[in-house]
Amino acid sequence: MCPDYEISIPHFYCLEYREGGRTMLLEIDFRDSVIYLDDTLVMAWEAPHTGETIAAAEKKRILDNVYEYLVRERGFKNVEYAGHKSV
Amino acid sequence: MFGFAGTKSLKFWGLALALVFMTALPLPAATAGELPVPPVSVGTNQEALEYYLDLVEKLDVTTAIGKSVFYSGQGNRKLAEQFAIAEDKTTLEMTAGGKFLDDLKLFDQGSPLKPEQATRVWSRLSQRYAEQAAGDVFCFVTGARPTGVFTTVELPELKKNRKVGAMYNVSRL
Repeated sequence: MCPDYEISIPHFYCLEYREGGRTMLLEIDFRDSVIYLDDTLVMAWEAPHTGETIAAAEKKRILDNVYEYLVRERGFKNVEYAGHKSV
Repeated sequence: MFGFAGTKSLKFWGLALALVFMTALPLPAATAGELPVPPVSVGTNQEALEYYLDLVEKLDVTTAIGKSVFYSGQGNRKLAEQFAIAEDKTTLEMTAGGKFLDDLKLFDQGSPLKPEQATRVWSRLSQRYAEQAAGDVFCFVTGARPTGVFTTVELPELKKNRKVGAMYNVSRL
């Protein structure tokens, strides 16, 4: 089953998350030896959805998806998230 | 003055002359010094890594004296970029080499490198960026993590670099 989101890494300093016609840029520096995922990364949707509130559960779902993509799909070995560390 | 045949003849000789000049004259420095084109494909991950580690040594990340800007930590990239634009300074990705490598999207799907290999390539470019810095440097590093590239790679290199003057944590000014 295809996920209902898309992720790309257009620059070394950010990850682009797209879902339901909305786009969010998560500021992750991929040069770092460890990538920490936490809810401070999930700031706001890009325009025209900038003002939309992002509830804690939605932030968690987005981060779960990002972790899934980075670790399971792409094989990143240095991601720390919610007590998990990929190896 | 010229008929159809005359126009055709003029076009021919114009083209011929242009070709003679193009082959006889040396390429301008900017063209001759263009960045290498990455291969369409490389055999193995290891070959790709070797190619990009070699490439990264040739990329131009130089900045003028007192123009280098560094950043690390949440929210600092945007601040650094705004500062660099406003103050006529440069972040890594604003250098020719940094932009070139960034455009290759080495962390994205379809990259010839594994993520940890791409990290290694970028880490080396960041190190070179710190090696070439001269004069005062400007850092946006409040909240930078101890495992981040600034703390582990760029800062140690800046400290070793005798051309570097003062290091300002601009986000604290």
